[in-house]
Amino acid sequence: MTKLSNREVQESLEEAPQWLKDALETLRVSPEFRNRCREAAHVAHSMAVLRKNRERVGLKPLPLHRYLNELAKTSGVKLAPILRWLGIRDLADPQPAEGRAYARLAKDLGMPQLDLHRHVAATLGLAENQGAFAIGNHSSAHVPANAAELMAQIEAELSPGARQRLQLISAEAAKEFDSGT
Amino acid sequence: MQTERKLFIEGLPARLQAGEEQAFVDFSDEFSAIFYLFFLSRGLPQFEAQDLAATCVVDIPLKVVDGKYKPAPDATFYAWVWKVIRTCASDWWRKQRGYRPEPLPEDLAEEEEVQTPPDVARAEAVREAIWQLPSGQRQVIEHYYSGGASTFKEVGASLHISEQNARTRHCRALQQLEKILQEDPRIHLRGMPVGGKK
Repeated sequence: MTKLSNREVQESLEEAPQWLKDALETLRVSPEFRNRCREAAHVAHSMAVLRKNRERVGLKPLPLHRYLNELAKTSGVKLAPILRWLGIRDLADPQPAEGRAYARLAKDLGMPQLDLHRHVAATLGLAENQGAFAIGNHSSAHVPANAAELMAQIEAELSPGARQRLQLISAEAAKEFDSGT
Repeated sequence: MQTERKLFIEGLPARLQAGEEQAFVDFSDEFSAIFYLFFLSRGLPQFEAQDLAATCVVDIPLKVVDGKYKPAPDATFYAWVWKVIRTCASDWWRKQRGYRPEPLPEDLAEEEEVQTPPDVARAEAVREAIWQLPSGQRQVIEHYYSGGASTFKEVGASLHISEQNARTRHCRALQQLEKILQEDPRIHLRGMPVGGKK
């Protein structure tokens, strides 16, 4: 390519009509916005990979954080950027205020609403040491045929406080599932 | 739409469904700035428009992966994306007013005659023109205007070319873009002032 001198380059820039400069400026983005959208793209890809693997794996009787950490590990993706994107502080300590974020995560992973409810119940149950032995013994290599029943039992054994917390989280999550978006 | 860009955009769904990571990045690079302009044109505040544009960069590809987009001979992915974006903008205003968002249309988007806001039309015209440039010039323009680089030195570093080379390609690109765009009626539409911070 024939090189232009600095003077020729500068003159061409100055000669570029204002309408062209203005038109190009419509595409100019701040580094912050660009980085944010790039991060969004990588989060979307990670979610797509997790989703595909979750469809293969299905329901396991694990607390939500263990289930997703295991899924992320076997999928070769990092979970932290996804949680950060959704504003989820700590999967091991679910809060009602994050119910909608949990639901968005579940929807993006193709996880049914009931499965999310079960995983959150298992998380709260683990925190109370309810069925901790039973949950802890179920590694990914051995999936009991009655995973749903086991998780239902754990939910039934939650303390009143934990059950209330579960209901609040599920109510918030339901708003997101019902939104239709 | 100009052919090369059309082929690129219409090829995105298959790449997204195949799980190609670069496809997600390409979707973001191609659409994020235009999404932002569109949401601004719909009256969203700057921060909300930015927020929603970034959310769409996640949600729309995931809808493709989820099978919500179904190719058909008489509809395009491009039109489907625009239908989703218009729904997102409407939903945002519905939420502000306490209404439920409307369900995402499951049917394919047809090529509707919907008026595009002037700033968005102008941005689209520029993107189509950029696609007509030789790849070396296109890369410089994209890095300088939408790639976050603020100097030709940074552009050169990103593309592994000299600063002078980056300047020269930029100069030639401007000359080409002027020829391509000077007759495009979309360029001279007027909307909101250019240069709103993103």
